[in-house]
This record gives sequence, C-alpha cells and structure tokens, in this order.
Amino acid sequence: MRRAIAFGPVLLALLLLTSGCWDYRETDQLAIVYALGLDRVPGSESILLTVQVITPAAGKRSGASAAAGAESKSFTTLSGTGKSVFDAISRLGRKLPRRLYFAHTKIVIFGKTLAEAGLGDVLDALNRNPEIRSTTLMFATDGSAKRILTQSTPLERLPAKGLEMIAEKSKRNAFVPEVNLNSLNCRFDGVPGAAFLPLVQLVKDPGSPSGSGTGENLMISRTGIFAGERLVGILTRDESKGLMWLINRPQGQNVTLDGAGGTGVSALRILAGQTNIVPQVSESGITMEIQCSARANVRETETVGIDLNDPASLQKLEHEAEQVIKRQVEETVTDAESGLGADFVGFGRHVRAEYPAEWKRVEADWDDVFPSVRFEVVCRIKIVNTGVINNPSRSGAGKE
Amino acid sequence: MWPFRTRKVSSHKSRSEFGQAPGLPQPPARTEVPEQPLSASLAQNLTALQKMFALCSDFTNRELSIGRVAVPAQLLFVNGLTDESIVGDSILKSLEDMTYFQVGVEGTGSMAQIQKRFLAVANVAQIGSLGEVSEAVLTGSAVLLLEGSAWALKIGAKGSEARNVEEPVTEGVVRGPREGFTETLRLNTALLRRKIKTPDLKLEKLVLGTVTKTEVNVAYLEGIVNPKLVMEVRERLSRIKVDAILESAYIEELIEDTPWTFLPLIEHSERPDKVAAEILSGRVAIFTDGTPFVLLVPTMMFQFMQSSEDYYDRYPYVIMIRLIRFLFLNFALLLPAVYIAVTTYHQEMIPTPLLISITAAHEGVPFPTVVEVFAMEITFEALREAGVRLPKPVGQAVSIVGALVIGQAAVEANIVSPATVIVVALTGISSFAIPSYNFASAIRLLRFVMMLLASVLGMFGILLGMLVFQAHLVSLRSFGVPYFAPFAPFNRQDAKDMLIRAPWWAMGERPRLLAVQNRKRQKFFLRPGPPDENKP
Repeated sequence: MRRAIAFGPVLLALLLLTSGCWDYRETDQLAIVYALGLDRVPGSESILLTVQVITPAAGKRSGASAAAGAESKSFTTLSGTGKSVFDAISRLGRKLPRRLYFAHTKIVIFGKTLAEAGLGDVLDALNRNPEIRSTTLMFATDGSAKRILTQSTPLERLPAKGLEMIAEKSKRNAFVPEVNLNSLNCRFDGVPGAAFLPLVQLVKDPGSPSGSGTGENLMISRTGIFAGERLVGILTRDESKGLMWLINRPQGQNVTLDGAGGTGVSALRILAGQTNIVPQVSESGITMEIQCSARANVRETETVGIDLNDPASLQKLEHEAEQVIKRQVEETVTDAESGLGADFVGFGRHVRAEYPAEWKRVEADWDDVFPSVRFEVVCRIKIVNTGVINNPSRSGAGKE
Repeated sequence: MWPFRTRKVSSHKSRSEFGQAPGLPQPPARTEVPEQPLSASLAQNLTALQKMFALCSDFTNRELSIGRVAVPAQLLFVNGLTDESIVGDSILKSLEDMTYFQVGVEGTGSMAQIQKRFLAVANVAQIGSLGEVSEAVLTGSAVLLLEGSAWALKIGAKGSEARNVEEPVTEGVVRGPREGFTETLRLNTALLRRKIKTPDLKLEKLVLGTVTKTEVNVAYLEGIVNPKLVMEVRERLSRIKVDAILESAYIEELIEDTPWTFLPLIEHSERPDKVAAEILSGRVAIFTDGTPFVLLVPTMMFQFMQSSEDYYDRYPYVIMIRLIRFLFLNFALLLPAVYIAVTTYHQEMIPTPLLISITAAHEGVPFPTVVEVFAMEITFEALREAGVRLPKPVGQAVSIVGALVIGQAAVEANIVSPATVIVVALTGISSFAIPSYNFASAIRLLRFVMMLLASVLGMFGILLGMLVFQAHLVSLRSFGVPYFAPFAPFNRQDAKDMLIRAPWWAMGERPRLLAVQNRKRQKFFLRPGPPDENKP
C-alpha cells in the first residue's frame, strides 16, 4: 500500500512529462511578422499576401561587421499568392524555414485593388486568427500594399515600425484617425456600415530624406472611406481633419488661419475639444446640429500689429478659427452626403440613439435619406493660452 | 492518497512505546545513568569512577587530605571543562584553610560543614550516586569525595573555553545590536535575560540526547505566552529519544508539525534582540547548548521575510524594503519559470522589441531555452555552494571565475544567450534578498519545480504549480498556528506587521494567534506630536 502511494507522484510526474511540450516553440523557430499587406490580383489565386518579417540576427550585429559596410537589412519582405488569406499564408510558409508568427503584427495594409473589391472575406480571416490582435492597426493604400511594405522609411530600421509611428503621430495631431481591427469591426457591424481607414501613400519628395534611393516616402494625410466593406472614396486633408471633429477626436489638431480677417497667418492648436452631434427630427425631416467646442492655444502668429493682450483681438482669432473649422466640418459632411453617399460620419448612429422610433422608420432606406439630412455646424473656440510670450516679438518690425 | 495528510497517527504510538515520557523537571536521559549509590569508602568510590573513566586522559583526580587529622579526599574534574582559577583559587584554597577544622569520619555532617562554611564557590550541591558524580564531572563541575562519606560535593567550576560574543554572521544589520549568541547555553540565556528583566521569563531546563546529554532550555514569558503552547512544546520535546543533539536542527526536525514540506516550519535566529522580541510577542524559544541558533515556535511564513532591522529603521523605508523583498521573493521563485514559459510558449506576451532582442540573442545558441536555463541555474547553485564551502580567500576566486569568466565566456562562445544569463543572475540576487537563509533555500528548491512545470506546460503549468503551492501554504501549521497567518486567516491588527510594518505607536496589540490571553502590548494613542498648548 505504502509503495503504491509513493508510486502515485511518480506516475503523475510521468504523465506531465510524456504529455507535454506539444505547444513548445523556440523563438528562433519563428518568423515574426511585423506588418501584413493584402492585395487582390487577377487570376484564380487572387489574394496576394505580403509580409514584412523581422530579421533578428541583423539587430545583433554591431560594431565590426556593421562598420564593414555589409549592413544587413533588419527586415525581409516576402509575398505569395493564394485562393484565400489562409491559403496564401500556408503557401508562403512552405517556402520558409520558420513558421510565420502573427502575434506581433502591428500593421495590416489593404491594397487598393482589394479595398475596392471588398474587405469582407479578408476581415473574416483576420478576425478568426487567434494570433492577430484586435489592436492591430489597419490601413488602406491607394496603390499596392506590397509596394508600401517594400518601401523603407528614414530614421527607422524597420519600415513598418516607422509607419506605425507615423500613424500614431497623425492621431496625436488629429489629422487622420487611427483605426484598429476592433474599431473597424465595430464600424462595419454598426448601424450605417460605413468605415474609414487612414490612407498610406507613397509620395515623391526629392527634398526630404528618403529610405530608399528613389526619393519616395510613406505619408499618411488622407482617409479612405468604406461603404459596404468597399473603398468608395478618399477624403482630402481638410476633410480628414473635419472627420476628426466629427468622430470627437480633435485634440492636438493644428488650425491654420490664413489671415483673411486682417490678422495675418497664424496657427492655433486644439488643447481639448469636444463635438456633440444632436439630431433633431421635425416634420420637414432630420436636422443634425454639430456643436464643436474646444480650447486652444496660439502656436504662431504673424507680426501685423495684433495685440494679443487685447481680448478683442483674441476674439478675432477665435472667430476666424471657428470659421475654418466650420468650413472643414461642412466640407466633410457635404462630401459624405452628396459625394460618397456613405454615412461614415455616424449620423445614423446618433439618430438611432436619440430617436429610436424615427430610426426604425428610416432605417431601411437610410442610404436614400442620408444625403438629404440637413446639418448645421456650430463652432465655439476659446483661446486659453498664447504660448510662452504674449505679443509677437519685435512687433514693431512688421508694422507698416 | 496525498502523502501530506498521513502523518504521525501511526508512528506516534510506536514512539511512545519506546519509553514513558516523564515530566520536564526529570529529563529522560537521567534514567540511563547507573543509579549505584556512593559508598562510604573513598577507595571504593575512586576505583569505580576510575573504571568508568578508564582511558579518559582528560579525567583528573587530585588527591587531598583535609582537616586537622588529614582525612583523605579526592577532587575530581575533567581538565578543560573547569576553570583552572576556580579549582585553584577557590576550591583548593578553601580546603587548605580547613587545616584546623576537625573533619569527622562519619562523613555527612562534615560534608555539610564544608559546603556551608568553607567552600568559596557559588554553586555547591550534595550528590549521592556514581551516576551523578560522572554527570557532574562531565558537565564541568568539580566533585569532592571524602573518606567516610557516602555523599559527594558537586562544586560548580564550569569554565571551558568559549567563543566571545560576536556579531552574528547570518543576520547582519546596519543599525541594531551587534551581539549574537555563542555556543555556550548559559551565556546565551544570560544575553536574553539581560534584555528581559523579569522573573516571568522562564527557562525550563531539560537534557536531550542519551549520549550527548545536551542541555536544552525552553524560554517563554509567563503571562503572555499561551500555556497550551508551552505544554505542547514540552510534550514534543519529551518525545525526543535520540542519542545525540548536536545542533538545534536535530530538534527542529524532530518536533515540526509535518516533515512533508520543502518549507521550514520553525524559524531560528542567532540574535538575542530578535529572540527577545519573539518571546515578548508570545513565542517560545528553544535554546540548545552547543549552537548559537535558537529555535522559535510557532513560526509563520511572513517571519522569514522580516529582518530584525525592520524594527530599527524608520517605518516608511521599511515598508518599501518589505514590498521590494516580496517582489524579489516572487522573482526568486518564478523568474526563470516565467522566462521559459514566455519564450517557448507565449511569445505573444513579450513586447515586440524585447522579443526581437531575445530572438537575436538566442540566434545560434545550440541548446533550447529550457536546457540553457536549467544548466545555468544548476551552475549557479553549484557556484553558491562552492563559495560557501571553500575557505574565504578561495571562495572569492571561485565567485569571480564563476560569475565573470564562465558567464562571459559562455555568452561570447554563443553557448548561452545573454538574456538567460541576465535572468539567472537576477534570480540569484533575488534569492539573497530574502532575509532568511533556510526559507530562501526552500524557495530555490521550489524554483526548479516551477521551471520544470513551465518547461512542460508553459504559463498554465506555472499557474497550476502556484495553485498547489498556495493550497499547501495555507494547509501548513506550525505548533497549531496557521503558517500563512495573518494573511489567511486574515487579521487586520496582525497585518500591520506583515507586508508592511506600522510604526510602533500604531501596533498596540500582540499577535492574535500567539498572545491569546494578554493581547494588549502598550497604551493606545501613543502617537507623538508637538506639545499641546491648551493643556493646563
């Protein structure tokens, strides 16, 4: 009996040892995918998958070998085609010594061809894969995703990392929204079924430092609009900034005033802002009142003799900024209603929240109702701070 | 059947058959000594004793003749156990001064006279058997035998060479008393008595070990200690029937609640201030002759995470230090396991840049991470062991060669990855941040179990291991007191001295589970402040 009891733990230990390790994988058996690009190509194998894989050994090489000039790239871009995303992954995997590992994928880029054909199937593959995080950033591009992923960025060793940081900065300065897999799902599953994605573009810019020798750089300044999971249009820079107000994320935005009111070119920065979209349903139809309010500080002003100690001139600046923001927001909404006909600004959502009964009535033909929704933008800016100095330095110099 | 529950019940009975456990004042070892009474004939007694001590070169008998009629006498002692000056200046001198005293042949009366009037020595007692004589001689007394007396005088002349009171090696402090216990029991109890000056401090004596006859003292503070605890300690000590007690660890292993655990269930200390503090909060201390380590019962796990300096430093700093200790306790237990789990099963849990550097570091290393970590941990243990065992100057060389040369070379040669070396080094440091050495050893042992679980089942294995460990922790008891108290069962008052240490004015009560009958330690509302101006 005693012996049997003593044998028990031994058996347990054996059980542990013989069953284990099925999930075991060393880090050097993994190909860490940092960015993933998806394009649609003609033919039966219509999905073109591009992955940017980290080459870890490159980071290890320091000193002597790096100085020798044989600078190894810290990333490799690989692509392969398949009938579906998963098919493309497994076909690509056959060519690789290491397993493609998507848990550290930070960026997914949809190429124009794919975006125009629709994201549905691809999103399913992304959502279903347990390795892909719902916080992975999503991008669209107006070219091919493959091309974007082969482009290197200045200052960063890993181009996708650079792209990630550019996106982060765009969000912080509020000119293009940041969208991850989760929020994209929410937009598509939500009421109007329209979404937006930041648009990565390759721009020729011979003046600036360039990752490659081609003088091309990655840039994010515009927004791609999706309706019914298809790319339907692209917002301009100003419209993208207007969109930031409409989705209630204006913090950090720069408002450049062109000095039409005689105050000269100046710039404000939104410190904290808020947008309330208030729907009003009357017999004549639906009206949306868009109330933007924000506090801002002065970042720059031209020396045209304005006295920032004077509340009246601050009010002048405030008024001008209000006009600029109002114009931006109006442009965006107009484009959404009459240009693209996609409710990416979320009017339907607000109507549903405030007037559920009305929403039930118009829900079925919202696409027809939406372009006729009237709107009014009310903007209120308060300058709370003029920066380190009050009046322009050498205010006399520009005064003539 | 889980082995942790099947204890004592069967073995206890067989042990009590071994011998009837007597009460404390009569130590069990006594019964083994020959009870043959002394005879009135000096020659007969001497022959018997010389037979007993045959071939004992340190046994000395000094022939004397005392009194006016020169009655033959013998002074017996063991060389080295007695103080030469006491034997010479006090005993022999006193006996010499008896020249004009009429020593009768009837014995007893003269013995009493000598004891009362002449011997200038503090401890003198009459003994009547050969066994007592031999025991007295072996414990450092001198024994006076007189012709015609069936009684002998046991004269306290203990004075063997003893180590001075030095700073304790295992429990150093920056601020606090620098004295530590020595190998001499009396000196140790004196150090304690100097701190607790009350007759309530009891030091019950008993002798353990049939051969070594080691004196053991059970110290407690009457009025504070739970009497049931003292009875339990007496009971468990009297159960001990072994030939030798050479260190308090012998006693520890014979009286702990269960042997089926890695964790120490009895704390030990070589600091008088610490022992005094524990006795003052209702614990029982067990002093053992021949070792500076005093056992403290009952013990709770959190005691091992406390150092005596915690009470001498300012309390905000102590709170920080204690929290750091607990952080590093977790590191010591789990860091290599988590490293294995995360790098071989859950790469998604590592921040991307860190994963890239870990992968880059592991590139080209021939062994799997598990083998790497196990090899390094075992090497570290070997280095630590070698460093302890070797003589000091050599030990330093080992640690330098081990840590710097081997570590550096292994990394350069791409045999282990630098990340592993960092993890192992941090773990090594962590285990030394635990104040108690024997608790740290237990944690180091458990670390290997955790590493094994992590390498087989990943994070899931670590969680399983921690669940079992936690269940085991709360199931343990030390002299009936929950080992994980005051966390489980939780007590707000006691928790003031657990993860944190409240300032002294806020700790008004003694531990709830120890000082059952007398919980109030001090006056409440002792918080100091500026003088109250409005006070009349």
